[in-house]
Amino acid sequence: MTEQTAVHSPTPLERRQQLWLWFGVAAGPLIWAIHLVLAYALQSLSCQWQFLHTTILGMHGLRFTLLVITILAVLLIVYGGVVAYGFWRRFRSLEYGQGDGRREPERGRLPFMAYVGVAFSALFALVTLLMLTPILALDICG
Amino acid sequence: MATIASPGETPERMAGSPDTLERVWQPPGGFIGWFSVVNHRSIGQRYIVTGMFFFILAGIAGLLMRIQLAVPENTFLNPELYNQLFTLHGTTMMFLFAVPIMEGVGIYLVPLMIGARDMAFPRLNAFGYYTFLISGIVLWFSLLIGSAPDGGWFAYVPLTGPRFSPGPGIDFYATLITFLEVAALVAAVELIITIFKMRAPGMSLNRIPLFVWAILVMAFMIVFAMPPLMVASIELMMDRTVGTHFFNPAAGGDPLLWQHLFWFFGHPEVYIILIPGLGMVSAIVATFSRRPFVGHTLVVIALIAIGFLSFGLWVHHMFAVGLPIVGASFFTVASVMIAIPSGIQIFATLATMWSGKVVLKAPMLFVLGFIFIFVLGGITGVMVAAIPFDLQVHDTYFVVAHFHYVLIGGAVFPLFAGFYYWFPKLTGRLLDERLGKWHFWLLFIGFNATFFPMHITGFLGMPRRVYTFLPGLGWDLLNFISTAATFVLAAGIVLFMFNVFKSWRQGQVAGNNPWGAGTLEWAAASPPAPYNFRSTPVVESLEPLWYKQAHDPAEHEIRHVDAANETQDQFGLQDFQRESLGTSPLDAAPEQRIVLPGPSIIPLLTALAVAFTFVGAMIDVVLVPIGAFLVFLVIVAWHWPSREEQAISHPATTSPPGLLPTSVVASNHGSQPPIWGGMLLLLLIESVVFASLISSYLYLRSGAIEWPLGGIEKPDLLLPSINVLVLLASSIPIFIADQGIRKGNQTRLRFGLIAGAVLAIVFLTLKYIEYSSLDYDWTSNAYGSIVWTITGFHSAHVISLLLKTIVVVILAFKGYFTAERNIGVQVNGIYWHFVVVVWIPLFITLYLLPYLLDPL
Repeated sequence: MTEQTAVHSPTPLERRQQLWLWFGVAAGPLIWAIHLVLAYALQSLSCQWQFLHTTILGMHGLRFTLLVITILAVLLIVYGGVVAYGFWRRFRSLEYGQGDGRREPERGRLPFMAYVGVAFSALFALVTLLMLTPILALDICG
Repeated sequence: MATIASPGETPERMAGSPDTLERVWQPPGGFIGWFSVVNHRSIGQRYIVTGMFFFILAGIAGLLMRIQLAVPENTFLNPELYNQLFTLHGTTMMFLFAVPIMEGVGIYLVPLMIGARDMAFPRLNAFGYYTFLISGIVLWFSLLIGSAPDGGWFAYVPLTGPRFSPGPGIDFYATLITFLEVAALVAAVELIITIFKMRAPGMSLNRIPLFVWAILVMAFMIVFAMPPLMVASIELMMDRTVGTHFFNPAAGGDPLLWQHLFWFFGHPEVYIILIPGLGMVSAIVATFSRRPFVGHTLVVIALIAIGFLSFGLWVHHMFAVGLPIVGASFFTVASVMIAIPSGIQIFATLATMWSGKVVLKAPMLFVLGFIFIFVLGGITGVMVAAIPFDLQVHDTYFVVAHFHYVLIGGAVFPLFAGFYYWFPKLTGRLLDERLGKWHFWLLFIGFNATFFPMHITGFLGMPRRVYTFLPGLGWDLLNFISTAATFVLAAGIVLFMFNVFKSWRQGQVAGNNPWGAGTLEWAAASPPAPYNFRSTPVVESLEPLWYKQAHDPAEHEIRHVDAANETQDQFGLQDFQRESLGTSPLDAAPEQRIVLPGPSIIPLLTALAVAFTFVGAMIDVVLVPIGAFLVFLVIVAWHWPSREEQAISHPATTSPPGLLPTSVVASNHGSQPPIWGGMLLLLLIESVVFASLISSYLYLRSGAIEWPLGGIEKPDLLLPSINVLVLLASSIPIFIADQGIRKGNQTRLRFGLIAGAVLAIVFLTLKYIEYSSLDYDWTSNAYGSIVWTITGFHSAHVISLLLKTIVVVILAFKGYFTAERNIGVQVNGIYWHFVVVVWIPLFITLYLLPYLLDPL
């Protein structure tokens, strides 16, 4: 072959849109990680140093705080998933093809990233949500 | 974007002969030549062979342990030797076999799978191997002198502290673990940059093979997991040698700090070992099911999710230490939920087999073994993730059974599958299929008969790490069965070694693609030419060879890969120097010609200098700065451009019109060279190190009633605050120097660098004045230990910055840097700014937090 093989380029995205796409991809795992470290540290320090030991809306202050930050984290992760889903809907009809007929069409890079973001958000939202189980069910400083 | 010359327009200089490429890439021969080799396949092979050697050593240690436990009150081994053997067994398996061999397989295969001619930093690759080799030799040498570490592979304090382990054994452990981590991190950086910057055009993120994804995830996990262990092992060494108190509760230290730091590394470690195994399984199952892997994107998601979730599990190793139940339960959630992505991998494997036409050759047998054993191990993993259950089986043989099922099932079986699968690519010959089947059944039966009884032994209460047991506890027969079965397992390994030796020279000739596989490595020759691919391939699907076969029935191989009549690469890679194509990270669009170094003895010398530093730390602390200076000298030699390379007209700097720019000047042509990404990864690793130090500080503070400890006054703020401003100011002339040379301004470059260096010296001087007036030091208590350590570590960075900048200044005065060629200044600059910026959170931690957290 003597002519240059064309290299497939994705639909160009503006820089701001690229940042939003990366937010959609990374929101799930990053927010889960930050939440885990915050919740673990807060629970440990609060019980040790005796702060947040008040009653808020009928609930132990520490339990209430952990409940709030967990719900906030879940909502933020879900938002990331919504952003990713928006990109997936936009791109999934584009850049498909090149399947060889024996299997499903191969995703292009952009819908691939968007799909990853949606899946990450679903999984990490679930993992974060399940952290409410010990927060609500156990003795908060036991 | 630079245009690509078509062959018809190529200047004469570039049309090299096929022999030129062979000559340029051929590894050197001879004794010295062997130590100078930097080709990725040679280095990868060495990692694999050395890793298997340590596997056998550790296996022999395990066999000896099992003989000791065959019958109650056995006297085959004394308790001291038994403790050393189980420590060496675990340490070797985890640090000297599993991680290096997975990295080695990656180093060998990744460039072939992505269409590259080598890895991004060949000399760094070689350095990593020698570091690994030397650390393994020194560790096992400790057994020969009767001073092997004996505190377990996890080395819990206070047992391994200076009071209860005064001998040199734990010094060997702590020093060599740190040394080994350097090797692991180096290989991780290599793999990440190679995968992001050197993929064949067309291999966008969505077309990366699953094995390459697995290696990428593994490498990123190493970047985040290893630094905390480095911090922990350095803190342990300091407690043992220079009198610090990180883990001494009598002086404000905390033994749990060790456990947190160790297991923050230790749990991801097991997934670092598992994930490449999953990648191998994916590659093999697709080939032997004769169809693409089902759910490719889902499996990518699963691999990355496992990588992330594995960092949220570490406390499940500490369920029995008395942590608050709510906090510990957070880690139960992640420990259970990691079964979801793991399950996706298993179900995708089963779906691929179900919907394909399975060919049951030896590699597939080992994959079936993986499925059975790993799933069993995963089930017991979910069991121990529940705190109440874990409290019953903690420290019993149930846990031993669990982790051998997941590690041997999840890593060793896939590894053997990979050996049978890729052996033809390495050697050009197939392993004997009949011996392979015998090997599988001996391993499978031997493994299950050895380790399954341990579930029951554990339930019956047999603790871990005991060198013998009393008769009549119900453990006798089970232990005997485990020991007898170990010999069956060992026979399988011996049979495999025989198969390898026999087949290497006499095995059936394989051809390029004996399995009819679809990924790119099978387009290269078996074994591949030293340059892998004569012309860089272009990829159009996930399985390039199957795609070509489907669309061009007359074309059974990727074109331009190794055609004898092709005299040059279609992207203009030159034959007279080592070059590989550089592409963009996400879409693999061609960007640059990466110029790669040839053979060199310097990586070995650097590894020896680093070894001198670490081993010296065990002998006398004064040897550490001497060793560090030796390391500095060899690193200068490593990077110093030759007289030829200094010339502006050197081919690495100039490119004929129509060709892609080289990596030396790429930063001036819209793309960044691999060294830029390598530096960013180094900064990421350093950030994790500093974060671990800050975490150590906060952890020690959280457990203290008063802070600072021992009546020490809160830190003075005036001089340190002035010093922060001095350090921040030093970034300005460095920035001016960088911007200046980009416009070709030599004066700004030279004087900017000098001004920055002067400010750094002022910073160090003020730091010295501040610390020489303190009435406490690192031996006073845990507060003194952590404060002096953090400051000392950062100051060491400033010193290394100064030394680097001196070298850059010398090159600047020699006129080496130009408007075109200045990546060295950029890289130096970004490291400088990092060292400055990282001081901000350190300053806040050391100087402001004692005031801010005072009310608590």
